Order: sequence, then C-alpha cells, then structure tokens
Amino acid sequence: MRLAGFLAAVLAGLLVLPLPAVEWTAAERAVLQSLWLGSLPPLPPDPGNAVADDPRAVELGRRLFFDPRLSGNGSISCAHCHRPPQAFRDDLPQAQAIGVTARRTMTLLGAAYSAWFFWDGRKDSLWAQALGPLEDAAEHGGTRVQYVRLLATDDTYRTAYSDLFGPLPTVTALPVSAGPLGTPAERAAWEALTEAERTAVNRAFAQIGKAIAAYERTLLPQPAPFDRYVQAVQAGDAAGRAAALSAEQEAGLRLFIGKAQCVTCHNGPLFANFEFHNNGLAPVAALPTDRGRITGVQQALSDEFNCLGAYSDAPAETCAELRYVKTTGRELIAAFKTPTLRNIAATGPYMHDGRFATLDAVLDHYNRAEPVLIGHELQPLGLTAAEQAALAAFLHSLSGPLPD
Amino acid sequence: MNLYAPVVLLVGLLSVVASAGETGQLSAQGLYRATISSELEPIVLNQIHNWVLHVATAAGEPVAEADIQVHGQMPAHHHGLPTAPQVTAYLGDGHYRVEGMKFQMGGQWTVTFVITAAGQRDSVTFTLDL
Repeated sequence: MRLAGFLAAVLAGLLVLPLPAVEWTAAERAVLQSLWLGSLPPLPPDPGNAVADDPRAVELGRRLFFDPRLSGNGSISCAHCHRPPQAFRDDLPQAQAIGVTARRTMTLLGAAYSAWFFWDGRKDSLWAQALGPLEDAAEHGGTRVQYVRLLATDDTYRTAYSDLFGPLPTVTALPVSAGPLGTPAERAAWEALTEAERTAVNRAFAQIGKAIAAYERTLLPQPAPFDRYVQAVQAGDAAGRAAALSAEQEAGLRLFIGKAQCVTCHNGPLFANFEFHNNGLAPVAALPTDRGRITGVQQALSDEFNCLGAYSDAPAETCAELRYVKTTGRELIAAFKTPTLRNIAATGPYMHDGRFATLDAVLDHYNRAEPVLIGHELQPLGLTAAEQAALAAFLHSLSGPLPD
Repeated sequence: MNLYAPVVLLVGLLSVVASAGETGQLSAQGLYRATISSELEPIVLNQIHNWVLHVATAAGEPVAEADIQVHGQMPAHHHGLPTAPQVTAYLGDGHYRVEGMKFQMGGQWTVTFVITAAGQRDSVTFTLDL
C-alpha cells in the first residue's frame, strides 16, 4: 500500500513535470544543421541571365512584376497570383487569372535555388519561367509583341531597359499584339513578321523575363522558429529550444527526420530537393489528366528560351541540368516537383492541384499511401493521429517573416 | 555570423567511395576493376556534378575505348537519379569523365556502370549511403 502510494505520487509528479527535452544524436544534429536556413548556400548563379544579380534589373523586374499592364486585359500582374502577403502564392486550388489553370500557384520564396520551374519542370530557369504565364491564355493572356510595345512606349521602362540591355527594337511597324501562342489572329500576325522582327521581339521578351527573374531571385525565406531551435540545439541552450518550438513541435520534428521520412525529399535548408516525384495522387475527375514531369521534360527540351537556346546568355557547358536531364522512365509519369515547406502553413490548399485544403489532409495522404493505378513511390507510414498532429504542428514552425 | 555562409549539407558519405577509390571494385563477372571519384567532395544532395571513372582489367591494365553506360538507382524508392549521366570523354590511362551525376534524396543508392570493351561486357555496381 505504501509502495502504491509512492508510485502514485511519482506518476502525479511526472504528469506535472515538463516533457523531457528530445535528445538528438550527433547524426540527427547534422540533419538539423542541414535543414537550418543558415546552411543555405549563396544564390546559385544563373549563367543564362547576364543581369541576374544586377540591381538595376532587380528594380526593373520589381516594377514589371507588379504591373497589370503586362496582360491581355490590363488587369493581371505576376502579383495577382504570386501575392506577397501569402508567401508569393495565392490561396486557391488552381490559379485564377484571366481564366483558370489546372494547377496550384507555386511560391516564389527561394525559387532561384531550383533547377526546374513549374510543377512539371517545363522551364529550366527562373527567367524562362517568367515568360510562360505572360502568354498563357488562362493567366496573363497577352503576347510578346504587346509586352515589347509596352516597354517601348513607357518612358520609365524604355530607359531602364536600354540602360541594361541596349535599345529596344523599333515597334512602330509591329502589330498591336502578336505572338506564337496567342489567338489565331495573333498567331497569324506573328507569322507575318519577318524573321529578323521575330528574333528582335523574342530577344526583348527574353530580357523582360530576365529582369523579372532578377527581382524574384531576391525573394528568400527568412529565419523561422525552427531555425532558432536549431541554433539553440547546437548551442546547448535549453531555454532557447523551449522558446522556439513546443514539445509537440519538437516531437513532430523528430518524426519529420525519422519515422515519417519527410526529409527524404523535403531536404536541405529550403525543405525541398526541387526534383520530381510520383506521390500517389490519383487523377481527379474534374481536372484534365496530368502527366506531370514526363510531359514537362519534353517541353523544357524544346523550349526556345531554354539554357541552350538562342536567347540564353549561358555557355552550353554550363547547361548541365538540361543536357543530362532524365527523359524516360515510369518514375516521371505523374511526377511533380517537391515544393519548399518554408512558410507552408499559412496558405493552403496543397499539392500540385490544390486538392487538399489542410496540412492534416496532406499528412493523412502520405500516412495512408494508398495504391493508385500507375503505382507510386510512397510507403504507408503507420503514424498515429497524435503523431500526425505533431507533424502538422512542426510544419507551422517553418514560417518566417516575408520579404516585401 | 553570415546567415548564408555555405555549409556542407550532408557530410555522411561515401566511405564506400573512399574505399573504392583506394582499391577499386571488381565487376560482376570479374572482367574489370573500376574505381570512382567525385569532383564534388563530399557529395551533397541536389547538386549536379561530374565523376571520374577508372577502368582497368582484373590484372590492373588500364582499359581504353570502352563503351560505358551509367545507371543510378535508389532501391528503396523504385526510382533512379533525376539525371541521365553520360560518359563524355576518355581522359587517358583508363580514366573516363562522367557528367550529370545528381542525387536528390538521402538514403542508399546504387550506381552501376555497364562496361563494354573489345566485345567484353560486364557491369560493376557501387553502393553509396547519402
């Protein structure tokens, strides 16, 4: 009886004591260090974009990014979907601009660290990416001739452009709107131009993308509670650890780099390998069949604005990602790019088609890893509800302040 | 402290590569002895880079003019490298440049070289733990 009383007292004591701090092995601390934002290397060079790090290009790009005149109807800027207060994405399952696209808007935070762009990697540089939506009928819905004319007729743009790239092509003889991806009339007007005119427009259009990319390269995630936690762990600062992450978040972190295997693909300081994975998402009846990377890689290879193309500033030998890209294999079918998890919690929905409204739903998907017809890379994780909740709590620790 | 100071992301690598670098590895049928070395050392995830492969006969004679195919695989995940590496140059003395190596996930990888020289085909597989 006395022993039982003693045990009860001990148990009661345990209940009111704070949870013991998670001890990390040296190997685990190395993984934490690899995820720490301080481990982010300098921005990778973009050899295809000669003005990638020119402050004048950053300023021109910033102006272009927020200018709704870069659209077919004068109302859609890049920031329409890449909204600064929402981590440079929106909160819609599929992006909505002039029309509705088939996929979720991707964040621009840390995008410059990726070798491939869009969920299917159909572009191989940030500057080439920026050109895609400008001419997509469902997005900006304009044409390259229209955009080059805008720059040529706006004093601020014309001056900024010529400072960076030399004079714009003469636009007086060009139609109001023409481009190879436009309406039938716009395509016909494009075909009617001389080859020299098309080349000059293409070059100026590419420079628009390079200026926008220079701005987008400045959009980087900022330190989050997780980063303060890692610093506290490395410093042996128990109070700092407790201030940065709750016990539940700490448990979630352990799962993230352990049992739940999230870190396998969500690796490095941006919590993303920016490569392509079939993550077992069955087709959605309401959306067109999306073959993901297997289609995107062919588009990247045939893109006139790719690293090896005429409008790239890159020496061919620097285009290793494009030259040695994988083009075949089942694993490319319905494979989509791993997105960064930095600032992930604030703005759902999630996945390439925005099918999950909450992080809980995402985690449930990975936990179940249910079979789909074409197979996938996942294995069921066997997480309990409490473990799933801890992971979700941890993901909230990856949100830092947003850049302007 | 510089927040963006470059720090090696994952350091745990390649004791296998290191040992292979010293002793080489015999091919499946014993025809060749292959040695690999990475120009990116240590190998970090998500960075495209080159390797140099050395091919010798089992007796240690350098093998020139070999046709070499590269296959990377992650056995636990049923997929391979995100790239399609190629042997792009013979550097002499049995050395070959392998361009386009890139590992996108931590875990166990196998990299297999299928080597054909003078009509003799054999393969050698290296296991890496990244």
